Amino acid sequence: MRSAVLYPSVIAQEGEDQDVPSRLTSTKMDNATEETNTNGTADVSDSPEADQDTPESSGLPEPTLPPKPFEPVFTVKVTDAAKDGEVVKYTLKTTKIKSDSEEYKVVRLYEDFEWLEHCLITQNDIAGIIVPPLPPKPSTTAQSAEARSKKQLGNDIKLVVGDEFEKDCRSLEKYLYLVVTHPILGQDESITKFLTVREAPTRAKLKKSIFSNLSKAVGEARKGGHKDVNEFFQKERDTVNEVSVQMKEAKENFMKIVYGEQRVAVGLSHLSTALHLGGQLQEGADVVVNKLFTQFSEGLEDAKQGLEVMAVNDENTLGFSLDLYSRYLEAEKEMLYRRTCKMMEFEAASKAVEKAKPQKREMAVAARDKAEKEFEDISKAAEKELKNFHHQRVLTFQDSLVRHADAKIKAARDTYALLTKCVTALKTLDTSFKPL
Amino acid sequence: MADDREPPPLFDDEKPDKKEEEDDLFATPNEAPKEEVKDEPASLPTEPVQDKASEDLFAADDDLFGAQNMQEDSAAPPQLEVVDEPPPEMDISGEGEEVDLDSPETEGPSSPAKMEPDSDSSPLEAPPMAEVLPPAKPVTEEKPKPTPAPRKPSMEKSKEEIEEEESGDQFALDIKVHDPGKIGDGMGAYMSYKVTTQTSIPAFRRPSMTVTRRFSDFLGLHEKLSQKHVHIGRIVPPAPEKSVVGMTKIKMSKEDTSSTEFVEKRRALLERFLQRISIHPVLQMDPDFRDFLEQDELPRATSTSAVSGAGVLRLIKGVGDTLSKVTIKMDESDQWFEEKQNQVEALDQQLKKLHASVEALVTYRKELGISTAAFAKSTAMLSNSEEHTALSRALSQLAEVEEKIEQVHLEQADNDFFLLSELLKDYIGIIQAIRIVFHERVKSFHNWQNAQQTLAKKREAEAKFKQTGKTDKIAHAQEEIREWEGKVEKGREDFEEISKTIRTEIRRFETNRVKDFRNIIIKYMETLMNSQQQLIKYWEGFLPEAKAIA
Repeated sequence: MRSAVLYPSVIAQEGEDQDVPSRLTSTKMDNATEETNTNGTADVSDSPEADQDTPESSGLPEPTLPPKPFEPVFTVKVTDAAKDGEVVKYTLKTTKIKSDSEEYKVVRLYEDFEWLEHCLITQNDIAGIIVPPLPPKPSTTAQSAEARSKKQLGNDIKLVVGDEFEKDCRSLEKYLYLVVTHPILGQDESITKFLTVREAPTRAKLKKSIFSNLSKAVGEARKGGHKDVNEFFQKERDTVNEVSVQMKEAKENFMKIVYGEQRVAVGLSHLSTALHLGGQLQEGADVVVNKLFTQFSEGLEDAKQGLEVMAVNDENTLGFSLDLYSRYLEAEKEMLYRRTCKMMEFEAASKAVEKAKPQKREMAVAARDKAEKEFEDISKAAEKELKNFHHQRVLTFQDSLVRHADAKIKAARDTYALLTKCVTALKTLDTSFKPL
Repeated sequence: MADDREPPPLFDDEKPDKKEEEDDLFATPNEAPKEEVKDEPASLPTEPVQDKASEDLFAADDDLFGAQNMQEDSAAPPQLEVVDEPPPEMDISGEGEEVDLDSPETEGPSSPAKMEPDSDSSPLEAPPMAEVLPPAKPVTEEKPKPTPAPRKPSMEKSKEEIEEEESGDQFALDIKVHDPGKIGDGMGAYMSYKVTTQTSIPAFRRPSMTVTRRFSDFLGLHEKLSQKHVHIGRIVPPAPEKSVVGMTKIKMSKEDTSSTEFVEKRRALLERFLQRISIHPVLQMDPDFRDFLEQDELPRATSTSAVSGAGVLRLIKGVGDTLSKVTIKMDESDQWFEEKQNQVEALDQQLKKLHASVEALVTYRKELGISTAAFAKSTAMLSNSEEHTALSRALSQLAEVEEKIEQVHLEQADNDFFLLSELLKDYIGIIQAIRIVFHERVKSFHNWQNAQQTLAKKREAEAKFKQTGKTDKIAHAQEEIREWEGKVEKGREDFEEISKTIRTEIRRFETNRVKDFRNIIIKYMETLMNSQQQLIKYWEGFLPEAKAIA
C-alpha cells in the first residue's frame, strides 16, 4: 500500500572528526608558537594540522628554525565489533595520512586498549598533558544487558536493549583519534605498534587496586583546594570543578531524554500492535473500522520510527560529546591536580631553603630549583594543553550541536512526510459499509 | 410511546437542499479531487474542520519548507555515507515532502459553515476538539446519511427509519459546556458548568440559550432518559462517572480549581454526553432533554445521590437485573442478535486493551516531558559556567529550545489522552449501555413467555371447568383468557418492537462508531504532525545559533 518508504536517517556521530584539526590552526596558535620558540622544546607544537608548513605560519625572521609542527601520522577507523563468546573483538583499519596506500588492519580486544593507555601514561611525561580518556569497558553479559534495559526502558517494559556495538566502536575510534592527534602521545611508539602490528602487544596484567584510586581521591580532596599562585590557573581549576559536575549531570539528563524517547517509541509500538488484534471481526462496520485501525497502526509505526531514529541520533551527536567531555574534564582535573602537586612541592622546597641549616642549604637550593623548573615546565605545558583543549572542546560542541539540530530537523521532516501520507490515506479511505 | 416517534418530515425537497448545502460548504474548486470521495460519510465536513484548524500550520509550512527543503536534502547525502541505515529514498523524500505538504494546503480555507465561530484554531487543545467533533456529527448526518442509504438499494428501509434519519438530518443542535466554576466551600461545595445551546429546532423556545447546571443535574437527566427509553431498546449515552476522589479534592481546595486537569476532563466528558444525546434522533426531541437545555432552574435531582432513597432502589434494581441476567436465558431465534452480542463483546475486549495501551503511552510521554525539562536546566547551568561567549549563548539557546520542546511533549500527551483515551472510554461506556438494552430485550421476551404460559394455564383451567361442568366459573375463566390473550399479544408486540428498535439503534451505533473513530484518528494523527512541525520550527531556529559558535 505504501509506495516509497521513507526512513528518517540515522546520522553517524563524530567518528568523522578529521575536520577539527584544520580549525585548530586559528590565530590562537601564534601565541603558543612564540612560546615554543623560546622554550626550545623540540617537536612540541600546537598545530596538528598536517598541511601547514611552519615557515608560512610564523612569518617572523627567526634565527632558529621553529620546530616542525606535529603531524598526526595515522587515520584510524574502528570498523567492526564482533562478539566471540563473551569477548568482543574490534577491527581497526588504519591508513597513513601521508601515503594512502599504506593500510593496516588489526583486531584488538578491549584489554589491548587498556594496555595501550597504560603504556602511554607510563612511558611519557604526562604531567602537563590532559590524557584522552579511554571509554569504559562495554558490558557484554546477559545480566548487564538486562540491567541496562531496565534502566533505560523502566521496569514495566519487558524488552531487552541490544548490544551497543556501534556506540562502542565510535567511542573507541574517538579515543584513538585523540591519541593519534596529540602532539606528544601521537608520537609514542606504543600507538604506532598498536595500530600497525598485527599481533596485539603482549600485556602484563594490570593491577587495578581500589586503594590507589581511594588514596588518589583523598589526595585530591586535600590538595585540590590549595590556593594557586597563578590567577589563570586558579580560575581554570575553579571552573573545571564546577563544570565537570554540571557536564555529568547534563549527560545524565540527556540520556534520560534518549531513554524517554525510546520508551515512548515502545508505547507507540504497543498501541500499534493492539490495533491489529481486532482481526477476527469481519462484518459490516468492523471491516471499515479495521481498515482505519490498520492505517492508523501504520501511522503510529511511522511516528515510532521517527522517535527511534531521533533517539539514536541524539545519542550519536550531542550525547556523544556530553559523554566524552564528562570524562575528558576529569582528565583535565587530574592534570591540574598534578600541577597543583608540583606547585606545592615547589612551595615546600622554597620553605625548606629558608629553614635550611648552612651546610644543607646548597642541597635545599638545588632541590628548590629543581622543583621550580618542574613546576614551570608543567605550567607551560599545561597552559598550552589547556588552550588546545578548550578550543577543541568548543569546536566539538559546535559540531555536535549543529549535527544534533540537523538530525532533529531531518528526522522530524521525514516523520512529518510519512504522517502526511498516512493522514491522506485515512482521509481517502472508503468508510462506507453495508449495515447488517 | 407515540411521542417517541419522530415527527413526519417537514420538508419534501430536502434532498436538493442538501446538495446545495454541500456545494456551499466547498466553494473552492481546489476541493474537487477530494470531493469525489463523497461516498464517505464523514470526509466532507471534517475537512473544513481540520483545515481551519491546521490552516495555520500549513501557512507556516511555506516558511519552513520553502527554500530550505532542497537545501537540506542536498546537504544530506554527504552525511549519508556514514549512515548506518542507508535510506536510498532520501532524495525522494525531498520531493515527497513537497508534494505531500502541498496537497493538504490545496484544501484551502473552506468555510466552516455551521462550525462554531469560536472554535479554537489550534487542534491541540482538547476542549475545542471536543467541541468541534460532535457538531461535525449533525452536519455529517445531514449530508452523507442519505448517500449510503439510496446507494444501497438492497437495504430495506422502513418508513420509520427514513423519518428518523431525515429528521435527524434536518435539525442541528450545537451544545457546549464551558466555564466551570466552584460554588461554595467545604463539603457542600460543587462545580457548576455553563451549558450553551444553539439550535434550529423549532421545538425549542429560542435559537440560542445558556443555562447553569451542576453535575447532579446531568445525572438526573440521564436517569430520566433511561427510565423512558432504555426499556424500549434505545441506547442512552452512559452517565458521566462520579469521582469521589476528584471532587473531594476540589471541595477541600482553597484555590481556584477551575483549570485543573480533573475539571477539564469532566467538562469535556459532560459536553460529549450532551452531544451524543443531541445526535440521537429520538432523544434529542425528548422534553426532559429540552428542559435541561432551556430551563433556567431545574428541580434538584436529589435522587441521583447514592445514599438517597432512589439510590437505594436503584441499587436493588441493579442487583435484581444482575441476577436476572444470570437466570434468564433466552432461546435466540434471531441469529442477528446472537452475532451482534458476540461482536459487541469482542469489541469491548479490544477497546479495553487499546485503552490500556494509550494510558501507558500518555505516561511515557509525560515522563519524556519531565526529562526534557531537567535537561534544559542542566544546559542552562552549563551555559552560565561557560567562558566562551558564543558557546555560552548557544547553550542558553539550547536550554530555551528544550523548554519549548517540553511543552510540545506535554501537549502531545494531552492529545493522546483527550483524543484517544477518552474516546475509548466513552465507547466502553456505550457498550455497557448496549448490554443493558440487549438485556431489556431478554426481559421483554421473558414477559412474553410468561404471558403465554399464563394464558395456557388459563385455557387449561377453562377446559377443566368445562369438563367438570362448573359452568359458573367458565365465564370468568373465558374473561381471563381474553385478558391474557391480549397480554400475550402485547408481549409479542413489545418484543418485536424492542427488537426492531435495537436493530435501528445498533445500526446507528455502527455508523457513529465509524465516523467517530475516523474523525478522532485523523485528528490525532494531525496532532502528531503538528508536534513534528513544532520540533522543526524550534530546531531550525536554533541551528544558526549553533553554527555561529566559532
